[in-house]
Amino acid sequence: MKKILIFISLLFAAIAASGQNPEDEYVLHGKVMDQNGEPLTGVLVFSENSFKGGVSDENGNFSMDTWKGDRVSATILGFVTQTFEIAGQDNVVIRMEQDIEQLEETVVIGYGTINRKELTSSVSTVKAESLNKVVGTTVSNALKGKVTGLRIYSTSGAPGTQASITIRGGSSINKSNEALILIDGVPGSLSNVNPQDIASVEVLKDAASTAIYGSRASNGIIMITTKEGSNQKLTVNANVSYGYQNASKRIDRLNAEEYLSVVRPALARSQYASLLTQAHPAGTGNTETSAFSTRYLRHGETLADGWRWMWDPISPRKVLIFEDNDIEDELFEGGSIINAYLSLNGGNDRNKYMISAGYVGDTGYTPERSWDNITFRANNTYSITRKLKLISNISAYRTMSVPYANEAAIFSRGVHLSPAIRGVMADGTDSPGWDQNYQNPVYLINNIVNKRNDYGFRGILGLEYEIIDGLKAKVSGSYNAAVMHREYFEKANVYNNLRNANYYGSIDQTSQIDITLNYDKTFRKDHKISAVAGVSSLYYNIYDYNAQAHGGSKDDIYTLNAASEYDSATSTRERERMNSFFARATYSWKEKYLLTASIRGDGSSRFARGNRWGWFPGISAGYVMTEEPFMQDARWLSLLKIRASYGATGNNSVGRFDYQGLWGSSTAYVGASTWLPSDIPNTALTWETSSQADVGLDISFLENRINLVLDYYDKITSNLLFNDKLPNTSGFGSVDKNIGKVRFWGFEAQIDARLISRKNFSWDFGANVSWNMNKVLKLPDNGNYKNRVGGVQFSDDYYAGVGGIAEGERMYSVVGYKVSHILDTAEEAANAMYDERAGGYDPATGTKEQGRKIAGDYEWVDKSGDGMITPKDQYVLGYLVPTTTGGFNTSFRIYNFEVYANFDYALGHVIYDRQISLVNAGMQDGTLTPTKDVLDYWQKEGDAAGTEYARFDINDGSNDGQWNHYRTSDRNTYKGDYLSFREFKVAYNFSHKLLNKARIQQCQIYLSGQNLYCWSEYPGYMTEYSSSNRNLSDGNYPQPRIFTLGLNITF
Amino acid sequence: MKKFKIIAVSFLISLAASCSLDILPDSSVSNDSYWKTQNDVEAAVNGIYTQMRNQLDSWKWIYWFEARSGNMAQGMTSCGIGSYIENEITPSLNDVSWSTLYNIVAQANAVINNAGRAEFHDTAVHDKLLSEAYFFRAWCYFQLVRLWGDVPKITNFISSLDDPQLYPERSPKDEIYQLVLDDIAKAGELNTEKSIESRNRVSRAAILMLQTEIYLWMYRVEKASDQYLAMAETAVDEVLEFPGLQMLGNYRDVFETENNSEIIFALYYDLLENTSQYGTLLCQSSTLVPEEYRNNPIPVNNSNNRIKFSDSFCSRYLDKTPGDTRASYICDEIESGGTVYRYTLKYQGEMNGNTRAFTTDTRMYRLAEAYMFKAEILALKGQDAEACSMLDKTVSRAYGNDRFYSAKALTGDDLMDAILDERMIEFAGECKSWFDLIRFGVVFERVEKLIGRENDKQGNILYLPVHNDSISRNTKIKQTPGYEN
Repeated sequence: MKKILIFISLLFAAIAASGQNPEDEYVLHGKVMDQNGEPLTGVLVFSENSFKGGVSDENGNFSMDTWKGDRVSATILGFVTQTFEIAGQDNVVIRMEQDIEQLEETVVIGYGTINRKELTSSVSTVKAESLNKVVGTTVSNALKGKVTGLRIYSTSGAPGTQASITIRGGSSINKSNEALILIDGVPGSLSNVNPQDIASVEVLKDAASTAIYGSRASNGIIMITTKEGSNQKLTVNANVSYGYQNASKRIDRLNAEEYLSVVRPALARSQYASLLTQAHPAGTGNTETSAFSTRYLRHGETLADGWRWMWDPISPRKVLIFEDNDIEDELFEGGSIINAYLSLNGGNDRNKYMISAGYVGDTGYTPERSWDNITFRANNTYSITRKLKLISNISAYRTMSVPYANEAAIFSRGVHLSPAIRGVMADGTDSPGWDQNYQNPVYLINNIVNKRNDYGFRGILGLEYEIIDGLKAKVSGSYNAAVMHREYFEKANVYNNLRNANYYGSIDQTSQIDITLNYDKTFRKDHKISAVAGVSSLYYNIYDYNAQAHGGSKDDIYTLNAASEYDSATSTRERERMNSFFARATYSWKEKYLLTASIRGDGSSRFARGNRWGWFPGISAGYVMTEEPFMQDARWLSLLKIRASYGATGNNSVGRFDYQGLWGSSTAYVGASTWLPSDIPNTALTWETSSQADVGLDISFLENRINLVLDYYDKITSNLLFNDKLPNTSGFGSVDKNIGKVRFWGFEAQIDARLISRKNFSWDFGANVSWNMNKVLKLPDNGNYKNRVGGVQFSDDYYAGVGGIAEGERMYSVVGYKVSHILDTAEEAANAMYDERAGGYDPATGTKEQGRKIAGDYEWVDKSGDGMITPKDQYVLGYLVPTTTGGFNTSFRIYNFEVYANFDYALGHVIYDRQISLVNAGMQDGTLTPTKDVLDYWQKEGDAAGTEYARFDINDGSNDGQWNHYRTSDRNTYKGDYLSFREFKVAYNFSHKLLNKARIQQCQIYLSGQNLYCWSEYPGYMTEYSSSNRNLSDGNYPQPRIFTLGLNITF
Repeated sequence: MKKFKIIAVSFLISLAASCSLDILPDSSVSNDSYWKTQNDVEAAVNGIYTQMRNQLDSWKWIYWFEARSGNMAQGMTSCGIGSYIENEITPSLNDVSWSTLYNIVAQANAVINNAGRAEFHDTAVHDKLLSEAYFFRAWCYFQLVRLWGDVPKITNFISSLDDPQLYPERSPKDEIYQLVLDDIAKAGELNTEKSIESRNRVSRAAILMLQTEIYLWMYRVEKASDQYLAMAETAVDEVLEFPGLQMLGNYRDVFETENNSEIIFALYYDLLENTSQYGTLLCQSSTLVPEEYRNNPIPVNNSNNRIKFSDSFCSRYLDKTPGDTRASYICDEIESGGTVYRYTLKYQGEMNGNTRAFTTDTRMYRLAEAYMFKAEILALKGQDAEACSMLDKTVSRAYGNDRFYSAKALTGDDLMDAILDERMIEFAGECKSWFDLIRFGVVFERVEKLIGRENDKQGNILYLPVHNDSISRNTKIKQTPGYEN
């Protein structure tokens, strides 16, 4: 509340800065026209002294208060601002000229900028208006669906969590595929910058554009440029919004009555029938102190409020009573997001500044989960002399969040507990759940205190000196520090009363020095040269510390001084340095033939002497056909450019000391220190090298109203840093070696069009699609067919391996069985094939026979044709990574209203699921809630005609179970294709006439939504990605659906 | 002015480029630079013990050394023990991978191959540390060869990718037995100190116990010469005379008191180091046991009860002699609400707040076993009366009778059976039952699930199959005949 008050008073203070009005004021009339004599609408004509003015109407007419001697400016986007002095005339005609400079887009590339027309490599730009059309809290989410070649996927929807980004599939198999993030030229992460401080985001995709960053560039680069000051008078922009959020996805599952009607019979026919009378969610042995509620109705007892009853499905004359509590209802309580942002932008010819402050208060929609972020920025350019400029970018942020210490325990496990859980225990506390691994989420959340503070400072200080005309020298130094500390405390509870306390954190420092020389010159009108050369040194200095203790006696003191037993205290430090040389030259002739070449040399401390230095060249060329004389008449085609590029980049993401082989200290023995080797030495280690070729086409029609960008690329990474598994007799699990080759290729297409553009109605449409494929070319020799690593292999059948990674095959495959049909009768089951994985427990006889099937089981497809179902019968069921990603967006403007919608989609991946199959396989002794599908599962002979699903069993995935549902198969590997209605906005812009009176330039009130709906087949929480650990230990926090009401005002 | 600018710029450039790229790790040590002082070797030897704890998790102890004998059964919650009890073991089961033992061997090899590089002031200290490393290498290979038969023989510390032993083949078991014999002999030569400094570390007494066990196995199972029986007797006699060792009067105390005088070598578990000693698998579940019995007397923990002593164990051994004071400590039952809760008090650790921590040290060798070995040797030599009186020394506290077996005057096969029965009870749950059955030559008679299966898996039924992962990582390794797919 206090924050909002301060904010509002600042707003009024700014408004109050007004000028004086002299007595000889009169009304001036006039008309504004463009260079062709056409009237111009919406031009703001105002006095620079009094700030009073008017806006030109449909005929170009305007009127305003002014006086003789007043200075008046006429300004509108896309035209050169006109300023003149009033000579006392009644009427005035103002002619405005189109600002060619502004119309030509400037693109930020490494160590400089270039005109979009002259760009010969593959770079996509997202400008601030598009990025922040719907104001969100994270940069990565704001980029979804807006850029070709980017796959952006959320692995958790928790507040403040960034999504993961890969560009063109990445470049590696075992090492990181994450893009390099540069904020104003300095490495950082997306959470270091407030999205509203960003002027543009450039995505550098091909080798030629990224080669200038050499050894870190193989995965592409995301360059963030923050807003800089202007030399116009002070503009103040404020954006305030308030939003409501709740989970965008719920799992469709059984209620308590359905649960009991399915699980009790399943227990009765299993080996775990003893649980039917015990303190189990489906058992009748629950007492007043049990965590679950199910039991028989006692003689003479009346049903308590909130309890339900049913006939016991296995003893029909007994009455079961139980509570019905859906844990999702408890967890998904709903929450709010407050987002407030203020920026001041202005200056004069000497000094340009931009100052901003932002606040986000995100309470999350689940209990005790929040994220508060305060950011501050001051970007300043000061001209000391005409030739010498001082540039400073300073930003700071403070994030206070309360994350979940173990998100998987809540959303991958605890949330699935049976609805027969007691809502509240007799003493008013929450039910603890089943056991330590499957706790009631609300109980777990209330018992864990986990607070995290992040403080960051980023500062860049630079001096730019113009030596001679066109030649500039620049020295800049930057220092970033990110301090994180985290407080963890577990209150005494049923599962653990040790009161574990943990205090840990890190200090992450990055410093960088850049010295560059820029040269820009146009010779004899036709020859344009632009060159840059420089050196750079980057240094990382990181401290980590961690202290643990337990044994305190109070639940409300979280610090370690209250603990009685000290468990451990450690700290570590790591340093790294990289020195670099780089140069780039761009030449264009008549703006028709374009050529760019660059080179970078990097020396890194991560590799041994002799392998330290790498050189990374890049070259690209372009031909702008529309600059040819014979093309000038085709007015409908405003741009046709063909470009091609080729270059080499590196990926240096090995551990900092991997080549040296390491010994590290380990747990003590009888209190004495122990050391164990952790890595085997590898002095030949060096970086992975990627070479990429890109061919592209830029076409624009109808005076740039329709723009098309097409790219085809082919990338080969050799010297793949392969985590080669070592024999398990060697004492080491694996080692990184540079062997192996992989290929990524694909195409991208992007179109954006201004379909209709009229005075009061306009309609824009944009769409993009990216297709990406990979293939492994070479792997270390390991004696297997295709040198297969991982997956399923057989020592006696050379060709039968499937899955894992193999030469000539696509990566990220999922291997499993295929269902042939359901064994409907006991006879069919007796004649079924021997199934190695099935435990063969037959409830009719109470005996076990390995490999035996019973009625209601799946019969699997016998791929190998040997009459048995063994691991050899597995297929590749699909791939974890989508082949096609993209998005489309559209916006309308009708009078003062604006409507905007953005969708994104991904096709071609499968969800490797353990969430839904965990519950539908009755795992954890049937204490979890199956989904509604289970009601349709096979129950008796004849059902196979009407259902696709085998019988529901308790512990189907145990050694004694049949593994119908728990086995990875085409029944539990879902298609991951999704279409998400990602952003939506309806806005009303107040008219200029109304605003003029309050001297406000622009004011918009809007209603927006995020993550509105996601169409997909997968019934679990997260569809945007699929992990190779089957979603078992992933966070799985569902993404929030957010509705926001906001106000954006500029004056 | 111009000159100044040029100098300034070149100075800045050289400054930027001259910052060194040689950065040594601040918090860890590289492989080459590790072996410098005596402390480094000590820390590496301590690492062997830590690896024994880390690598041999509770499942390995039970599955490899107990489960197949039929003395254990599934507890109240399912686990993978079924395959082992049934003796239907397949190469895809998690716990048939030998990597755990090789990881311990690797650490022992590190010490054996590199201890000489460090500076020692006192050769006795150096020798003692080396003897510990040899002990563990011998112990590990002794288990490897008995569990898998032919196994790779690794004696180098693999510290480079060019090492010839990086991709080994399976060596014949006779070679491995020879390595075991050489190593344990070496350990005995290096450590001649007749005292036990710490019962949590390998002393000469522990080395002698392992020697006895190895020689007895060679004699009885590998049909080696009589010399081995004599060597076994020499070794065990020295243990029986060892200072600092004495039988306790009460069976319970042997397990409730750490570092008591009966322990020769116990692997240390502690709240600050490792609380997952294998007793955790035998513990009951706090969710299932009715409240009035939780920790009173049934030890419970908030995890599942995976394993219990089997019905056949209880009827055949535990209940064999009425009045056996060990019985209720080893295994007892309480019935409540129609369910029988079978529990043990052995190896149940300590309470840490309201969580149970399994910190009872794993007693790998204790004095009672020395007496049992001596009894076995005497019986093999035909000295039945003396064997009986040795047996009595162990069990007198159990039956409250100094002459329980001497009075029965057992001979021949009956005596052997009695010795084995007593071992089954005395060392119940101490991970000795499986190899005891093989050593006494009765595994195909006493284990219900193995009756008549001598020729199963081409005669290799007593071995474990090689894990699929071992083969996929090194194609020179071939699966044991009988277990191929």
